[in-house]
Amino acid sequence: MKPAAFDYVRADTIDEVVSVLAQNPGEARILAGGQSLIPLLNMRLAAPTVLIDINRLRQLATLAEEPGASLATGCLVTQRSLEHYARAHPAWALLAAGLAHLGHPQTRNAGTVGGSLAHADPAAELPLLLTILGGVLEAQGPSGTRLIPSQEFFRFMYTTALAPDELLLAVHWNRPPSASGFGFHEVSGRHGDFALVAAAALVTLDGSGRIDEARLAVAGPGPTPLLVNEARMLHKTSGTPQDFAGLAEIVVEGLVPLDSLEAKAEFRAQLTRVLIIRSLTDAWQMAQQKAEGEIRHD
Amino acid sequence: MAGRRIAGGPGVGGTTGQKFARKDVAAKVAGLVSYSGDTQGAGMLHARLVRSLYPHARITEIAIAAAQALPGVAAVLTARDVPCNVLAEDPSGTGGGVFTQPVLASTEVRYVGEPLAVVVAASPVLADAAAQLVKVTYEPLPAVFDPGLALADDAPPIHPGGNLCVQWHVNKGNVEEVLAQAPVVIQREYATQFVDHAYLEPEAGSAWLEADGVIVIRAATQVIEHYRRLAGMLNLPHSRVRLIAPYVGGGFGGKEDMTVEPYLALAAFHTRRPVRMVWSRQESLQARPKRHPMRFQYTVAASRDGKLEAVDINILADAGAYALLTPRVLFAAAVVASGPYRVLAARVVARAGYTHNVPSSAFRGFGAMQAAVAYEQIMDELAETLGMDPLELRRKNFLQRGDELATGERVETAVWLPETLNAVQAALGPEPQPSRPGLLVGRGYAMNMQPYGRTVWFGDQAAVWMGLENDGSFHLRAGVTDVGGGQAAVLGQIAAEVLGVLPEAVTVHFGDSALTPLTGGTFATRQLYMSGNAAVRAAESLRERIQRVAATLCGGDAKTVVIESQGVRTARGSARWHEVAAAARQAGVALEVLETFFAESGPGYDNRRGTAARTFPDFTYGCHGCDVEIDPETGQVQILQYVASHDVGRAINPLSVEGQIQGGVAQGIGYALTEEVLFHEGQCLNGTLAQYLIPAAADLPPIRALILESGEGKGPLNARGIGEPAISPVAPAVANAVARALGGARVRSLPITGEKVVDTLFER
Repeated sequence: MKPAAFDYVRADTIDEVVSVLAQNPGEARILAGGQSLIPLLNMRLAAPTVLIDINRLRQLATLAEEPGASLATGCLVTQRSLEHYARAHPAWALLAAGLAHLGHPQTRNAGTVGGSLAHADPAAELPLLLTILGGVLEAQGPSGTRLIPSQEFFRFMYTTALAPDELLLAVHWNRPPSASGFGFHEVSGRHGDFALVAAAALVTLDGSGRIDEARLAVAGPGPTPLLVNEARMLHKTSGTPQDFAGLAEIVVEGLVPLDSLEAKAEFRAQLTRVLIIRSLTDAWQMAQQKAEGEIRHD
Repeated sequence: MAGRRIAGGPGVGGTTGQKFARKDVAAKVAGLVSYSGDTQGAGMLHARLVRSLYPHARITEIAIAAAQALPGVAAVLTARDVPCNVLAEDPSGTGGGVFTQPVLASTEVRYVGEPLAVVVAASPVLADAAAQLVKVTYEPLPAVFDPGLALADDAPPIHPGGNLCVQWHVNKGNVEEVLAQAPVVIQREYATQFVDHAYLEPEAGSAWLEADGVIVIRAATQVIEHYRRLAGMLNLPHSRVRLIAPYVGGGFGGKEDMTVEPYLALAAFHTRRPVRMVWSRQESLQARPKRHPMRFQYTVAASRDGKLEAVDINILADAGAYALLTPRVLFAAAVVASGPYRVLAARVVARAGYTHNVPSSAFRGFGAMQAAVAYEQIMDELAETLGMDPLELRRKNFLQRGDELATGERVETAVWLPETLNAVQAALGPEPQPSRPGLLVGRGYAMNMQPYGRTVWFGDQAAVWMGLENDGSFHLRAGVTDVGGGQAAVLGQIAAEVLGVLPEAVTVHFGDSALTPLTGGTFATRQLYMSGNAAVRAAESLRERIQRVAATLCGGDAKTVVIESQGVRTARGSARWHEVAAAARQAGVALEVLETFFAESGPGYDNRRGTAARTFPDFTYGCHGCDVEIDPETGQVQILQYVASHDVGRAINPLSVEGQIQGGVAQGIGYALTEEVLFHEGQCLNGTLAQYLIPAAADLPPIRALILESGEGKGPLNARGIGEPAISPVAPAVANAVARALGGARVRSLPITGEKVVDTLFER
């Protein structure tokens, strides 16, 4: 199929984008890498009247470490650029691990970080990664820019906190503590498909080898990535398999997993249980290895 | 009659058995091939189908006025515009039943997606818009979606003759008696699913009217002989319809029944303008015929030491709403249902019931593939019951030359089951080890026998024309359709081999029902067998004429004439091609020939007794094996390595053979693990390739093709067909490996999804 007719605007300034958005409330869509939007247009699952191409706004394609332990990625940074950066900088290895599951190198070359976040597919990797790491999103609307904390950004399937007249400018990713370990696990129908379930964990140990902080997030079972508050319960535990299994059970009990063609609710619950345990276990083991390494260094 | 062994010409030919990349492959990779949908021109119209939204409904009105009134709409055609609105076929070829289907439904629809009207407009967008303006009034009727339920007494009748589409019998010996006395009897059930051909090229084509009144259809089809049916539909003499098939971007049986052809022909016939039609992937997934889902009940009896004694087999297939090729597909399933094994007694009942699902029809493997899913799994299950090694059990029962099949016919060519099994076993190497603790590994094997060529009562034939130019280049004309397997190129290679020239010297003109001699379609793994044999004969006949002329010209014995690139040579002298041409003219010898190959023919199948003197001309045998690793907690199955071996008689171009095997395994892995077209009350639930999961490159394991050559095929140069055999053993090989890994727990329905693996482990 081919898209329904639409007007095409190639924006030269951010102000132009915002003004066209404001003139066409709810009817305009931003075209960045097009990896989700173009298929939606072709399938006529989306039929905006105006398409605003922002690919000339190269100032939005920059990536930089910032003071205050964060990484700023402009919305036009490609998924592939972020992946390359993350691979080369061990502090961001969790991003690299998660991005490896996002589509294929070909789609990552075109797909953007901002596009995936703003699209907010419930089973997508980037929203999950932002949820686990935490951070701030910067958006510009007619009245200027504003900051949106990551935990307030994803509202529902394909729905974010962005107003119809706002453009997502950049994301500021929180850098995980250097002593933390991470885990990322995903099951999908095929390589590169959206996750049936994906889980990510970050674990930091205290001086005595017990868990100081554990963060856990899950995507797939629900309408948005879920930051698991109950991960707090792992504080001061010694990270035994029983601790992780217990937490996984609590999470699964609280879920009403999506029931779909790709996976029935019961199977999604099983995957959630398993991937939580695996992510936490990996994160805990990596944190322990890092602690041991530091001890040896001392 | 076995194929004749050809020694190869006395000249520079001799490419048989050498791997070489066909010219068409390079052209396809470079994007230079003009496919059926690529024809676009000024003034061309675009056609779109209006399809049924209901699985079963009475049609009370098809209102077309609004669509007709839309500017740019050239025609809106319904059943009343079809001169003869019925397509009839006797698919089993035995006179057992003629099945009919409307071109455009008018009073009743029987499946979702059934064509109701053709809208023809100035652009695809206009055609879409007009199609939406066609208002169809439906009165929904009770529908049935399960062939078992459809065959129950109280089921709504789908066709006037009832809901049983076909029932085949195969009988050998006294099954009841053997079963009653057998020391070991096991019973199992297996099920297979709807899958789609998912070729790269969608159903597409164009049509136009020539000044002389001939309607030309250029379309992606496996069968240019459909021109006769199209002429029948239009009430025109056969000679007034011409069907051209350029290179086809994948057929796999999905372009064996007609797709766009009748609608294009109708549109050109009525508008008298060029028309193009391309189906979307959604249309294809929803409404194109699928592979038959089948349910198998197997009862197998054996002695304690593992000799097969009897098989009692029930097969039930979902024919969907119309018969299409169902009777033929079920026949293939019935003939090979007991697998490539000796059995004393066999009873097979293979039935297909109509439902209000999309019709099922041809798909690479053609029923024989579904049967392999059952017969190769039950061999492993029987071995487990007997406490025997599954390969030892197979070796004990392998079919051998001279044996009688369950149908009563005798196997007269080489049966290289042990050879292919040995090759696969050796190539797989040491047993797999889990890559980390907690994972399960298993190795599985499957053997298969797959017919090639049509059943003998069809009296199959294929014709090839060859001619020599006075510059020494050769034309070969054959009505083959080339679906990507090199069906055209190989004819040039065979002819070159016989003539003793380089393959480049022979240009193959193919796929035109008016200008190339008819060979029959590319299906049933028949094209190499049929057209290849015809090409051998044509090349031999032409060589003989050239030699005769050359001997007169140069002196010497005709048999010793050598054909070279510049001309001919004997011990006494030589002549250049233009001299040969002049001499031939002088002598009244035409350097052009038409030769027809007639396949072995025989009487029809005796379905009452369930026996035949012969069913198919021959079979191709093989063995596949693979290692899998399974994550028992998530159910994810990863194939670690895959090895496939077939005896292809003789590999004419081993690169093409390997391509068939690689492709067959890849397609088979999708069938085994991820692919299923899901329908709910006839509505397709996963109508895009984002939801219908064909394996991509990253999902496939390393696949090794081991080509064996017994030298005993019935094809040209003693080759056997390989198109379909390569896919059939994949699913049971994977299923057996999975069951091994799961310690005997078995997923008995395809596809073997992660969900089913987890459920199966849970149940245990």
